[in-house]
Amino acid sequence: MRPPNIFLKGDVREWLLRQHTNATDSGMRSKSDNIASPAEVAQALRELADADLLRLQEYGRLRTLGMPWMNGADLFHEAIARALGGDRRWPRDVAFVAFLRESMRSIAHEEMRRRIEGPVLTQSELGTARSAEEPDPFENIGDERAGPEREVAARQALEVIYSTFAHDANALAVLAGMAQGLAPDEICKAAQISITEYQTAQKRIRRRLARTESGGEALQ
Amino acid sequence: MSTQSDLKKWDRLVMALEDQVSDMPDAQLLATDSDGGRVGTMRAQIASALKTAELTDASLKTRRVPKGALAQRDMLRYMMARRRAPPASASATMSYSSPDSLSDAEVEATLRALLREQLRDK
Repeated sequence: MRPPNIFLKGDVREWLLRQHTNATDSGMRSKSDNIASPAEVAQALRELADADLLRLQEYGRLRTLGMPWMNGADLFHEAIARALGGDRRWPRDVAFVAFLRESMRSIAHEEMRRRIEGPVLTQSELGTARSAEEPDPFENIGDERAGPEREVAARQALEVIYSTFAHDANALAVLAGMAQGLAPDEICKAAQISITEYQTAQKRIRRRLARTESGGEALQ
Repeated sequence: MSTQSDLKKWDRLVMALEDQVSDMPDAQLLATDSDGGRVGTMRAQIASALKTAELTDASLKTRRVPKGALAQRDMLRYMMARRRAPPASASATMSYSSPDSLSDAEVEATLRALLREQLRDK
C-alpha cells in the first residue's frame, strides 16, 4: 500500500523534529528516566578520572585474590561489556564507579558459582538485565545458605589471604574482624589492641596485599 | 566460633578492603602509578570494549537523524520501507531502533496518529 500523499502540518513536522532532536542531542537519554543509555555509559567510561581507574583496577584485584582462575582485568572488562551491552543497567542516581564496583562483585560471585557448580540455568541466578538497585540474585537464591561447593572457593580465598599474614597476629585479628563485619573499635576490643596498633596493622595489610599476585607498586 | 558462612566472610572482607581503596585520596592512588602505565592499560581496555560495542564517536553520529531525513515524504517512505525490509547493517538498526531514541514503532504510531488527525481535520 502506498503511503498517503498528505503533507504534514508545519507545526507537527517541527514537533517531530524536536522529538528526534531531544532524543539524539541531549545525551541520547533512555526512555527510562532513571537508567542510563549505553551511549551515556560509553561517555562515563571515557570520562573516568585516572584515580578512579586505579580504584577500579584495585577492586578487580581484591575481588580475585586467592582465586587464580579469575583475573581482575577480565572482571573489569566483563563489567563494562555488560554495562555497554545493557545486560547491567546503570541507574543515573548511582555513582558510576560504585555501579562498576558492584557489577564486578556480582560477576565474581557468578563466576565462583559457575566454576564450582557448572553453568547457570535459571534467569534468577544471573545478574543480567537488572540494575544495581535490584536484589543481587546471589543473595536471593531460594536456599540462603551458600552451596558447599561455593563455600569451598570462598574458604580457599580466605586461606590465601590469611596465610599472607600467618606471622602477623594483629593483622590476622584485623582481617578476621573485617570478615565478620565489625567496626574498628569492635575489632580493637575483640583483639585487645589499641587504635594505633589497628591502624598500623591496616597499613601492613594494604602493603602486603598490594604485592600479592601483583607486579605493581605497593599502595601506601 | 563464628557460624557465618565463609562466603559471607570473604565477601565482607573484600568489601571492607575495597572501602579503604574508595577512601584513599586521589593523590595517594596516583602516586602508585607514577609512569601512568596502569592507567594506560585501563584506558586501552575501555577503548577496546567501546570498539567492540560499536559505540565509537563515529557510530554515535549515525544515530543522529539528519534534518533532511525528516522531509515529509522521505520519512514516510523510509518508515514503510523499513517495515518491508529490515536494515542490513547494525548502525542502521541503531539509528532508529536504539532504546536511546524513539523506536520505529513509536515514530510510526506517532505518524499514523497525526495522519488520522489530519484526515479528521479535512
